Amino acid sequence: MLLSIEPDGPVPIYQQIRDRIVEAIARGRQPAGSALPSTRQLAVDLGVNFHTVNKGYDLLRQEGLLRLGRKSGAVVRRDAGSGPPDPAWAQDWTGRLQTLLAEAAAQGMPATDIVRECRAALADFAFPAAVAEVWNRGGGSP
Amino acid sequence: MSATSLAAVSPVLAVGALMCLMPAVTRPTLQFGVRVPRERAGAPVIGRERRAYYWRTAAIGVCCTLVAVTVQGHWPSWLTRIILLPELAAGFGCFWVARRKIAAVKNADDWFAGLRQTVVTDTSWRTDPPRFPVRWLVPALAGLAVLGAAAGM
Repeated sequence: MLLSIEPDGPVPIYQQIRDRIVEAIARGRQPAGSALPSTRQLAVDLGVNFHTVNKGYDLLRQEGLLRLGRKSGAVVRRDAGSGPPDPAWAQDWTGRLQTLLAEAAAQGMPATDIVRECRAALADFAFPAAVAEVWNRGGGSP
Repeated sequence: MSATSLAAVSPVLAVGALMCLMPAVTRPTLQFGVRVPRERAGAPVIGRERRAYYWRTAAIGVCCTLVAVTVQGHWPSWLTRIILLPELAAGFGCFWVARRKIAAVKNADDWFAGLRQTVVTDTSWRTDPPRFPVRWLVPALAGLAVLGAAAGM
């Protein structure tokens, strides 16, 4: 997986690390069970502080996407094929999605454009075959 | 000049040459340890400082080599190598002067204004490093075996 960050960007570096890993999991580049570098190794490779990577990994652990062990290191715990998410997480995500969509609507983005962007983003993700089939029957493309 | 004398003087000459050639082998976007945008790699201050660095380190290398050649017959060889210390210190001094001047212009003109800097790493090199290709050793080992057998005959 190629992990890129913008050290001078407006988004905190730990959040960028977390976001890039979530995207890699969704795109199937880091499937469940795959390993990530240790916090120290990734900190050296990115040229950032060890605590910054640790904070990003801890966010992923709290979200249930990562398992951190002393011996096993950082291992991806869930991916698109791991079944339905925790209901509490889904509720929280729906709230954040509404805010994100509201931003687009507030800026005057047409609903058709919003839907098109959502479809384009989803087309990149590695959904399991069964989910893709249901999506196709519904007239969309995963 | 005897082989012993040459062995005593050559490190001083080699270090001088390496110091002098250092900017030529570094990346254009990382001059004297200062990261610069690709568009600014040919900035006048960089060219000026590189030329100054070449002249300074060349002069230091020549002077130190001449001193080493002069004293090598009178001092023990290990003492000749002590010259390496002031030579390296002077080289680092030249490096630091060039670095400071380039960094000052870079900061004053804000060379990275409006540019996005991205750091990319391939995590698979850590989690799944490529194995050493042992099979590539086979031709070399076969060659050694043949040579060994030929020598034993």
